[in-house]
Amino acid sequence: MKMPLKKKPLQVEVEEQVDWAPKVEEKREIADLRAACERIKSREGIIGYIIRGPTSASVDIKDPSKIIDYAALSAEAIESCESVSNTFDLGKISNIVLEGKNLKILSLTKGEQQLSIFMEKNVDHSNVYREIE
Amino acid sequence: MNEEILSLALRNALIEIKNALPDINWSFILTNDGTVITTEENTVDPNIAKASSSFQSLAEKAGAIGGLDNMLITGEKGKVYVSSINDLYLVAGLAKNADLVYFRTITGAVLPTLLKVLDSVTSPTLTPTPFKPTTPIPYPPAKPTLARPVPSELRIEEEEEEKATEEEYAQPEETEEPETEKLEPSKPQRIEAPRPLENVPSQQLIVDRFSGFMVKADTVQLDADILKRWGALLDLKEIGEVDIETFSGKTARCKAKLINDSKLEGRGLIRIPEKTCQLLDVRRGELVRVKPVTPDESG
Repeated sequence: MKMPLKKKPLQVEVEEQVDWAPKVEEKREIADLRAACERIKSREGIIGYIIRGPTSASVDIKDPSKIIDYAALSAEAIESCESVSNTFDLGKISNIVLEGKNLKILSLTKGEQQLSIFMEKNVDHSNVYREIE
Repeated sequence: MNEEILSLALRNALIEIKNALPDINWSFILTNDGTVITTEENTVDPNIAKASSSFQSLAEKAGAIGGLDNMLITGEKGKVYVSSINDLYLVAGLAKNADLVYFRTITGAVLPTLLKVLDSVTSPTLTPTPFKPTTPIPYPPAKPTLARPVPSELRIEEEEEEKATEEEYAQPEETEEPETEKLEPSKPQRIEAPRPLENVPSQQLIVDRFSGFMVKADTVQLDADILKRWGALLDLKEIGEVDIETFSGKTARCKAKLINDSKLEGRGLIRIPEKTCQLLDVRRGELVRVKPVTPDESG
């Protein structure tokens, strides 16, 4: 009788730091952020997430037809709010909560990664924020 | 709604709200097209103008989530809260530890109520309002011709006034008939008198400009609901033309069509071609009074 294969936990390779490669810490941070997002995504009411870095992006949205619209909105939200923050001297933005008629978005910047989590309006975004932070 | 009254009332409301909530650093109100309606200071600061442009582009993209309802930006030194009130957005800069629940309660109660009151006072949509002062002109018109074909293309105030005098001069012939019938009580009074101008419904709508190669300057776009309601009120199958009057008194008659952009439906907009906006000297976000043209008026 064959034994069922055990699922391997997500492993992050630790590389030796070199000048030309991205920092190891940054890589780990991205991996941690993705892992956190995956955990959050499994919760009820979470529609998906977009993580955008300087060179790459991860998108996981339940409805693929909405990806472009959500990506454009997420980018616009972060850019507009940064502009507003500079204009009114709000300092570093810790988070943005944008509520629409149908759903809401929690956006924040972590290091060089811009993250937006899309959720239904009844989800407590402060719990989600605490988990990411 | 008169823009000045609206601006003044909202500014006073913002000042009073700030007095009640000292955590508010600044606040302003803008329309969904980015036009700043009012600020506490009564002047549009360049920073506010810059921020409103950012909010406008964000509000446009927020269509993906059903439109922008509210937004909170939490920064190290303070917060910015944006809240949708009818077709307007309240933007407020708050202290870092501001009581957001209290702020939402106050603004959520005061501003919508104020807008509702202003709307009912200045623009009662159900009660028909006269489109133009209809003072009778005692002298006959210079031209004796009574029926002149009305061009469907756009015409400006002077031409309309000229026509109004002609129509009024022509009316006595038609009104004589019902008067003679009144003398005979046995006959039922079934003759329909021309519909008086006061009974023609009119509505204030927000101007939205549009342009393009195929755009006809003499055709404006309105909500299906408005045209339907006017049609029902006037007992007409469809409203073919409308009269537009600006607050500066300029008027134009245009063909009416339905708004072809579903995102703009139901917002109380009238989409006017750019060329016509220039002729009427109106800008996007301004209010104009619009009324349907009845068959009697269209000639």
